[in-house]
Amino acid sequence: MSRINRARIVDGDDTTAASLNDRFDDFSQAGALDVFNLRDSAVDLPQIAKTGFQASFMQVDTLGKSDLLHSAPVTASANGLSPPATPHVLQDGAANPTFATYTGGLSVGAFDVFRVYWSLSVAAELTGTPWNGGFQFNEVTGTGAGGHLHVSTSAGCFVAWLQWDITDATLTHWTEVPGQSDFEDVIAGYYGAELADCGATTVIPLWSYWLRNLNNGDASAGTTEETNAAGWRGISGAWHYTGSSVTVYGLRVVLRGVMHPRRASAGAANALVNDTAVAGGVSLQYTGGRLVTFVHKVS
Amino acid sequence: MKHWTQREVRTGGTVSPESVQAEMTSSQGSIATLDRSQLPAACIDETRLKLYATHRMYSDATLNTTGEQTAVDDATTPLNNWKAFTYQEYSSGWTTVATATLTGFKGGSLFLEWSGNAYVYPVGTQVLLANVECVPRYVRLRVLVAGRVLVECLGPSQHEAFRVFGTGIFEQGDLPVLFQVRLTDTTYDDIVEEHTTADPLMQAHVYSMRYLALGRWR
Repeated sequence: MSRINRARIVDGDDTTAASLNDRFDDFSQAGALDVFNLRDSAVDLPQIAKTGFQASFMQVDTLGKSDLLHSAPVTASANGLSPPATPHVLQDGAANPTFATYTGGLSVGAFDVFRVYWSLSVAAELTGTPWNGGFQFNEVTGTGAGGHLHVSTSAGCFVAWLQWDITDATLTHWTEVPGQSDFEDVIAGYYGAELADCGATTVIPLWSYWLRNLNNGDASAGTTEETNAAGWRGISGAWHYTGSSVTVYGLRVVLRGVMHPRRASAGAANALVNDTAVAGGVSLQYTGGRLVTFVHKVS
Repeated sequence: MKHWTQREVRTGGTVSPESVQAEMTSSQGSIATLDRSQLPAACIDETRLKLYATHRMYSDATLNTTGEQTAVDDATTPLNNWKAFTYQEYSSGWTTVATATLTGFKGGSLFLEWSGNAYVYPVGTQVLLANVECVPRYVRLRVLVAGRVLVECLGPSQHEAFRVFGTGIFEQGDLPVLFQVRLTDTTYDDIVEEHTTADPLMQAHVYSMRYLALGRWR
C-alpha cells in the first residue's frame, strides 16, 4: 500500500511557497491516493469530481402492463410441451415485449459491478387440483387408497429469469445472463435446470396446501385439506455481474412454469424441472413492474 | 482554504513566547497533514485514486459455488424432493448456510444485501393439538458481520425469492460474514416421512444465494 511520504517540517525549516506546493503536488499526482492518504473525513463532497464516481450509471424501465387495479392483467400460460415452448417474455398487454435498452450499448468494465433489480405484480390462476397432479405431491399416511394420501409439496412454481443481449443493438441475440440456464437442460427425462444454474432466477409460488387438524403425522379421518392459490403479490429479483468487460444492449425478464423440484437419482444434483402434466390447470397473471440497472465502481 | 494563523500581529501588540510557539505549532500541523479544508474543489477524481481508496464493493453471484445451502442436505429424500433440510437431520437453531469475508475493510459504513430463493413445506401449519395449533412455517434469515447481527427477518413462508439487506458501521479489518437460516421447529404432529418408503421429506431449502456488499470510508 503506497503512502505519500515527505519529511515532516521541523524547527528551523523555512516555510516557503515551494515547499507547500510540493505537498499539494504529492497529493494530486495520478494514482497517489489510497486508503491511508484518503483517511476518514479527509475530503468533503465538493472535493470529489462527480463524473464517474462510485455509481456512474442508473436507469429505470417499465416491465409488463401498468394496471394498478389488476382489472385486465396479462396471462402467461404454463408449458405443456416437451421440448418446451419458448419462454414468455414480459409484455405490455398488447403483445409488445417490455425490456430495458441502452442507447449505444452500456459498457460495463472489469472494475464495475452491473447491478440489476426488478419487480412485478403477479397472481396464480388455478383450475382443478394441479397441486395433486404430475409429481407435485408426497405420499403420506392417511385415508386415501392404500392408506395413504397425496399431499402437495407446495413447491410448484413459475420461474422468472434474466436474459441480456450483448451482441448488438438489433436486440435479436438474447441469451441467459451468466450463471443462469434456459431451463431446457434434460434431467432424467424432464426439461429444467440444476439449482446451480439458477443464479438469476426468481421463483414465483403458485399455491399453499396444508392439512387442518393434522394428527401425529397422519392425514387420517378428521383431517381436512386446505389450499390457497397464491394471490396478487409483488415479487422481485436481484442480480449482479462482475468480471470481464461487456457491453449490454438490452435486458429482459422471461417466465416459464410449472416447475417442481426433482433429482435424477438419490445422489444427483438438485434441479427444477418442468412438470407438464399440470399445465392445463395453471397460468400466471401479471401486471406491471420496474427494472432498475446500476453500474457501480468496485473501488 | 484553511488559515493556520493563530494570532494576528498588530502594531503595538505584545508578542509573548506562547503566541509564537502556537503559531509555529499550528503551521507545522497544517502543512504536514493536508486536510479537507486545504483541498480545492473537484480535486479528487478516479485518476488520482488507488483501488479501494474511498470505497470497496464485495460480491459473490453464487455463494458456496453452486448457490445452494449444503449445511443440511439429507440425500435420502424422495426424487421429487431435494437434498435439503429434513427434520430428521435439522437439529434446530440458527444454521450457517454460507460464509464470506470482507477483506481489507477500511472501517466505516457497510451496506450488505443477501438474495436468493427459499422453499418451506407448509403442510403442518395447522395441526391437531391445541397447544401447538397453527405453527406457520418460515425460513428465518439472519446475517452476522463480525459477530454482530446486521439484519434479521422472518423470511419466506412459501417457495419464493428473498432479498434482505442492512447497513451498519463496522471497524477496520477483514470482516467475517455468516449467512444463517432458522426453520420453524417441528411439532408432535408434523408429517416428516413418506408413506411407503419412510423416506424423510424435505422441509426447507435455500438456493440461488448471492450477496453484494459496499463499504464506504472516504
